[in-house]
Amino acid sequence: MDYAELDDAALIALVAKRDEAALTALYDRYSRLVFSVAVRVVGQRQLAEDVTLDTFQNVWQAAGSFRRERGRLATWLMSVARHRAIDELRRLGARPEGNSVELGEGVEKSAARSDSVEDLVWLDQRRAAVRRALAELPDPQRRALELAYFGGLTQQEIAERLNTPLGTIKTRMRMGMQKLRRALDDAADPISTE
Amino acid sequence: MEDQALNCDEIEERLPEYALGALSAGEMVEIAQHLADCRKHATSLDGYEAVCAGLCASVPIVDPPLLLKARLLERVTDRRAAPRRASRVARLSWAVAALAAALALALGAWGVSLQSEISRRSAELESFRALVTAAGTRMLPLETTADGGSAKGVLFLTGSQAAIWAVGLPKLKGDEVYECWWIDSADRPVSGGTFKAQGGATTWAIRAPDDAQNYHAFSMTLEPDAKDPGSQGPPVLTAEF
Repeated sequence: MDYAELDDAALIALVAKRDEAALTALYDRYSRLVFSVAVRVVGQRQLAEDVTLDTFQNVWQAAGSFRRERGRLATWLMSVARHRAIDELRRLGARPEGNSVELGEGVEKSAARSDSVEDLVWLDQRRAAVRRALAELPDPQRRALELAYFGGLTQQEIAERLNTPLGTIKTRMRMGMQKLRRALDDAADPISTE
Repeated sequence: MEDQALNCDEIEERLPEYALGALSAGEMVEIAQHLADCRKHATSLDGYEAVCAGLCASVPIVDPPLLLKARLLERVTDRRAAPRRASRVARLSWAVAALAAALALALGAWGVSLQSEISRRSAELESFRALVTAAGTRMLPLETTADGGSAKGVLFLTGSQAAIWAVGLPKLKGDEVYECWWIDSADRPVSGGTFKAQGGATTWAIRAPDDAQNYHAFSMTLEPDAKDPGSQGPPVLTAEF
């Protein structure tokens, strides 16, 4: 069996049966994405390595709980990695002030390595659509989303940090999210297909 | 402070912040409870959650370190592994930490292999341990060729002893084997021995020429026939010294 050719659903089913080769294949496919999300949140590679290990260990232990109908594996992995990374930020009492990389910046690399064409195309389409939309967002809206999503800050905390009225932060966040959602709705692979 | 529960319109208005996780703990709980009983917001919530997935997918892509996969395999296969926090606390200076990490990772990868071959390979384990911990051991990352796929590896070299650590090597079929080659100044290959990889992380002690300093490169090839010492298949991992 060539694990690299199996789709995500098949691989995660094998991982649930404690198939190490399947876990290795999933790691090969998504470790760049998971590590990148972790770096983006915690701002340093060493911590991001720990977060990445925790994320895939979580996959190993909880693969049986994954439900395809509730979303794609890539989405699940990104969510686990982000939450784990934010936990790490909170544990350290750190805040994302120093994370210099902005949303949507960076060199163009594929986020995942996969022989499963559908998974790869879906991820790259999603990525491209959000990047285009982010580039068009006003800076204050993008900053509010960034602090919330990658910094783990609440609206109240963002308002205090930016010395901006809470109502303004709420408006920026909602408008930014609505614009991004419309952009994804317009993208080639609409979100309704999930 | 709100005394009344949020209605559907108010829930809908807050979905973007809910999906981002940017509400207070109390609001997050209240909305989660509402969503559990009310399906009106499902499409909208799916849309905003998809935006969040897109935010994650849009981050700049950074390659994880070469040896991280070996650490993962160590974790999931070796329940005796030390807790992560303890190892973090024990971080030393850069140079010492690098050596310690190389040793830990390599031994971890070795541990994976030992699961099925522990008796046969215990002597090699000791050799590898001695090699990696020896003063002056060089650690050379191996470059992956087009035929190497997702393979990654490191060559450990000291004196006439050498070992390799590799992950993601293409699966062998039939009589195929991996063979290591030392390339001399005239670009002539000298065999360092053959081995079969079983998948996952692999470590192997290999033969190094006595005058290894006179060789300028190392190559690992995928040989189609283990019985044919003369053949030379495509390289999968290489290094220039």
